[in-house]
Amino acid sequence: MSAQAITYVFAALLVAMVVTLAIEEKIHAKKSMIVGIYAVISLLMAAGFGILPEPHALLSTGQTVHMPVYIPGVEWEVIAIILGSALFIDVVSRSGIFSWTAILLTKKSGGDPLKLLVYYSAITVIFSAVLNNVAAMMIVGSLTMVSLEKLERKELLLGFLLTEGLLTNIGGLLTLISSVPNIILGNMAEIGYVDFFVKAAPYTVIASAMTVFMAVHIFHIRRLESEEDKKAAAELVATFDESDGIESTVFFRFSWALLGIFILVIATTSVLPWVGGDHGLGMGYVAVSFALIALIRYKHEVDKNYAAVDWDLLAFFTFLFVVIDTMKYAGVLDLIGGGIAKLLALPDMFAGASLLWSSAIASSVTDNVPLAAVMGNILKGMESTPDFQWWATIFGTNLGGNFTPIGSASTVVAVAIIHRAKLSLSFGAFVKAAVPFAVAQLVLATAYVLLVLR
Amino acid sequence: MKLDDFESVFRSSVKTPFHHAPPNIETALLITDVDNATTEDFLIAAKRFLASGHGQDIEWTTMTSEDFQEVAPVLDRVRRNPPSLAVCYRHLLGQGAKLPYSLGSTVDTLTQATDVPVLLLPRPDDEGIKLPEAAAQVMVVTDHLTGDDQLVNWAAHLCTDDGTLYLTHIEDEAVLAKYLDACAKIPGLDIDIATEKLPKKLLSMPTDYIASTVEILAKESIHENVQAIVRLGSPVKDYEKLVENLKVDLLVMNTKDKGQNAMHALAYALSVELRDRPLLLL
Repeated sequence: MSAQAITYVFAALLVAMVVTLAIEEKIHAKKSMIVGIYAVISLLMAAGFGILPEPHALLSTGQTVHMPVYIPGVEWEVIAIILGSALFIDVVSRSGIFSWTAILLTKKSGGDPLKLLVYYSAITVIFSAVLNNVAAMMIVGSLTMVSLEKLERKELLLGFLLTEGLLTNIGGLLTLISSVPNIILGNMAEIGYVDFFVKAAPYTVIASAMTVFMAVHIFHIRRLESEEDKKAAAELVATFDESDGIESTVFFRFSWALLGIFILVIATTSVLPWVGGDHGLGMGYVAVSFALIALIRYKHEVDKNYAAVDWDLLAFFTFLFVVIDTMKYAGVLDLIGGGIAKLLALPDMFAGASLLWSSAIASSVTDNVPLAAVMGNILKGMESTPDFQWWATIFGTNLGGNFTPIGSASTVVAVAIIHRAKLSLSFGAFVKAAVPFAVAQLVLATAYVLLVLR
Repeated sequence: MKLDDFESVFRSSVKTPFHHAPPNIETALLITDVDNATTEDFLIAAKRFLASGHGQDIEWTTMTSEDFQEVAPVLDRVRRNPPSLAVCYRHLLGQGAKLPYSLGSTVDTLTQATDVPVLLLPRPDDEGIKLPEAAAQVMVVTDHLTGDDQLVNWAAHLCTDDGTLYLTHIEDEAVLAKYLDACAKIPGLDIDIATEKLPKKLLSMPTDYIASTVEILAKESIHENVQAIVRLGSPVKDYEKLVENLKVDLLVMNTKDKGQNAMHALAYALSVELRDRPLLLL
């Protein structure tokens, strides 16, 4: 078989994997299973066609060791960051710091729906940035369900949850470790944590404010008018006890301190001795180290914390890297890259906008992680990729998730909470409600990337 | 942590607060079947007992055996012109007097067929048992205290200002053991977590509610002496011991609910066991 034919066969396999991922709920299969099977098939086919490199690695000592291609094909640092962060956040969450903050703000709102929306939106964005967008949606979404139930305002629940779901993907843009596409693309583009934050923060603030403004008008969220209503609502939210979830005050304070240090260390990883730089241990080391420090609290039952890790997600990433690495050897990435190169050859304005919108549309119908991994490999493989093109891809892959309920993991969680609250929301109804927000966010992102970051 | 975990954390953080709303006892109907002289003495003793708390301004009417020979006229009178409180004793008209472990059909009917609270006092013709002078030690008895404002409000209202209000909640250990045993037989349920956390959560809810009650009553300068008794145990046995040890003057408990469950559970068992104590059946 000719090299070109092999490329097309593997391209078809990649398309089939993306389609299968898009219908994962219909076929009742977990992501890791789907991608794992495609990884096994693609590796076997690649070995059969003889397109894989020799399974050997040359060490700096001059020694050659056996190393199958699927070992170096995996971006282990990304896996370490995700695993370390997930464990760290799980342990720190158990201290009650996030639920404490969320309940405190609920009480501060006095039960006023408008204030509640503004406060919940703010913590959704911040939690998405500090934790990740799925954890943020779980925390704020479940509190929203409980608090609106308590306030007897369940009619506002759908609007609140949709707004929060849409904001998680904006908050996910704030830092290098807020979302998996950021980790993949940021690492490949060698964007530092602080640089990422400084460039993404202005957009995040403006887009969040715009989203809340739109939500207030679209979902008719109003302030309480009469003193009687205000008093009744304040009494209802006063029944929340923010300290209920805190099992140990010492651990609660320790977690606040540890979270602060974690953010500080992650932010300065690139300049830290032994950790930063090309020869440093890297961000994955930092994330896993902090996870282990936090786990000391539960040293006698760490197996429970391990059980809380989303192993499906980790296995999914691992297999995905294998698939994409195999696609690289089969010439599929060069094939897609050739198409994208034509796009990028357009004048900067068109190239950036096309990259951002096409990434967004692609990530709205399938998982944004494979898209980020494919796009990252293609952009990295090009002779030179201007910064703004990396940013266009980062913004597109994150924000595209806001078009559909399956566009991102956090919108999937938002829909799960909506269904848990026994509210009906079809795929079409979600798209109809979300499109005005997603379009406005993408228009703003296009202007920001092309006018500010270019 | 998963979605369920966060939802549980937030649901748990919502506390049920106590709302202070003292009952308005305007009228009381004393129902007796003893002679007039004994009825007079009984009325004085009942008035004194209620007035020791905050039941001073009550308009009393009496219904004696001259007014009724069976349950129907009593029921008719209570339904036609419901008093704020019905005051009576066990085995009216001699019903079941030879069956000490019963209340008699009049009291049974009043507790089950009307919404009127019933203050059940020791029989006035029983020489061995005397009605306490004052309701100084009042105990709220339930296995479901959280949110039961009515029980607490009545108890606080009838307790003397310098008395002690016992807010109690005894969770049936045997019932809990039965549920935990069932949990242990369901694959996927972590029995260690259930065994550790379920009893704690069952007891923390009434404990939080009592804390709210203490805070509200203190804010309104009512009953500074509120004692909490919340634990796992064997309700009937434990209450018998508590009532004896703490020399309780009045027990307040629920007997009326739509499912007719209350009177057939703890309340009935205590009503027939604690024959020497005044009981307020709500």
